[in-house]
Amino acid sequence: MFNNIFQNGLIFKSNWKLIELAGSEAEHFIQNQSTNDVKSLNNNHFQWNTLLDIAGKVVSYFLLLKQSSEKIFLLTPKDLEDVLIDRLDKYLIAEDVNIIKNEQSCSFALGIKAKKVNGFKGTFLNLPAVISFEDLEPFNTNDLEKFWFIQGDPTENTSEVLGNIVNNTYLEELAVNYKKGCYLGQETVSKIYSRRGAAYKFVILEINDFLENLGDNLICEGKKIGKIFSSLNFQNKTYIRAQINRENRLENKKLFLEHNDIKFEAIVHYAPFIKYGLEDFAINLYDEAIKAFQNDDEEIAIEKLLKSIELNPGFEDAYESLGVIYGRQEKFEQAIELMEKLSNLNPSSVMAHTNMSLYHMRLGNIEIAEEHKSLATIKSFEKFGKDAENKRIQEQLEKQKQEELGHRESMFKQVLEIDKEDALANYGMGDIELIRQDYFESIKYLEQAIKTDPKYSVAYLTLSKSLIKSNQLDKAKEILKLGIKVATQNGDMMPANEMQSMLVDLS
Amino acid sequence: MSKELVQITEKALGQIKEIFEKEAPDKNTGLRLAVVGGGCSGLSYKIEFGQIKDKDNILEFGDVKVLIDPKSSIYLKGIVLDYKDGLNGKGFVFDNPNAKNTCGCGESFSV
Repeated sequence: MFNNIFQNGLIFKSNWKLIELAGSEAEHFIQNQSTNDVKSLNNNHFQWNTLLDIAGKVVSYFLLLKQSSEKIFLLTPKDLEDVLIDRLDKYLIAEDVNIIKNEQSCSFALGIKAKKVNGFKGTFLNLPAVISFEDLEPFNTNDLEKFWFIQGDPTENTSEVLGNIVNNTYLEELAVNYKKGCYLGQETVSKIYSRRGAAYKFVILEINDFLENLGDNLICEGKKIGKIFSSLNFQNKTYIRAQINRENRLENKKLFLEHNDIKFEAIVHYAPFIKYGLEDFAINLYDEAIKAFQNDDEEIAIEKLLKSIELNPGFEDAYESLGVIYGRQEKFEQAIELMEKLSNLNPSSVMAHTNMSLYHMRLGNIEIAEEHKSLATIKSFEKFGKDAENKRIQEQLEKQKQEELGHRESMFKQVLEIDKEDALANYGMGDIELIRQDYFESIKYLEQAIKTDPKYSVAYLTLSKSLIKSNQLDKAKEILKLGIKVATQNGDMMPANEMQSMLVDLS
Repeated sequence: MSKELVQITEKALGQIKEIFEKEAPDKNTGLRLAVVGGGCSGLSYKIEFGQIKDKDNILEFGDVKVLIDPKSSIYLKGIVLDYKDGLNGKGFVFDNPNAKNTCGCGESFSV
């Protein structure tokens, strides 16, 4: 999906409005007002950011472009321009800051296009991006609206975000830093975060059908579980930007929903919908290149490897593989060039020098070939040494781990002598036996832990792992379903999500 | 995965099966073919037991699995794995029709 954007990048002009904060205290001022950490943002970089009210609800959101501590730009949807200025004015007392509307327009360059543009660097729609004041020619924008929709970044549809507690929105991930210190609304936001987390949260729902007019609410078994902000149809599917309750907000969970007389299934996805980045896409292209090579399509393999390197200029395997293919085609100069780049990326690479030796030999450059052969030998001995050292370190770590396990085991067994039903001690022993691969013993302990404390969410997770390892898959599924319910009720989203992922794998 | 990536002679396969029966590796283990740098002619072959990895090319011969990682497949495509038990020595031999040089030991090659 959206391969074109990943392979070729994207450039678009933004119609959002620019506000300039200028003055010796510009950074200090906005740092104290907003939810993200402006101080730690490097110059010529950008970040998402928000302003909240005292109840933690979003009043304004924007992209903050930091030129320096004395000059900062805020790029915001045009409907929020005056709201943002009014809000900033309200809290500007004695700081040396001027708030100015700036008429410059901005262009965004995403993906590989971002590498060739000057401006403010950051991440947008989960891709490397540059926001530039240069007037760039739009490129590859056909799918921009759909891509932005499913990646979840805030849009001009301000109703999705405004008035919502920031924890309930995707801006919590994009624009809130919990370590940066005080701002208006911070107390509420932090309390929610440190307790059970948000009661509702932004998600992208995927429906394998073309549906329209689904109303405003998400209804499951007659109960409202969330609300719909907007929907979009493409590639025979329907995607919904929505907010759903904690109980149902699990990655890849299938929801059985209804609207009027229509029943439909939706899969829950956290934003961004497409989670992989350029490096992952480069790996996919590399895999395709290898398959093409194995099927004797060397030219296609070369094309894909070149693209892979363009997307990820640090991809060592791509350089090596492409070089070897050129070598097979007797294009030795090109092969050597690639091996030189590999060697620059990884000075320890044995294969870079081995291959350079071979190709120089074929070109009749005997002395250079011998030099590289010596280097290859030196590098391989260095590698043997490092591997031996790593093995020694691993053995030491394993020994320490076993000693620690022994210590924990003795502690838990002492507790169990006093109280054989203690939940924590039974959990601890169950976890130890899982590590030791004694799954049946592990299951016994963990079942006791759950019997003693039916709300012990991590115990369900660990029990399901032991059940899977001992091939009791049906029982594992039951435990996972129970565990997911317990964990979501507790607000323990990490074990809940892990169990959900395991359940999907088992299904 | 096509078995044409590498060829394995009947003799070599028989020897591999014997080793598998003797060592009895688990179902996630196979015989890994790989290429490493070094050797008197540059590149040399490696053959050892290994765990199946995510993107391995897997050649299956009954219970026997031969594994080749994607990068090694670029070097190994077209080779023939044979087993020789003559007077000149016993062991696995890689016959590489693409090899321009092979050293006397037969273990090292260049492409």
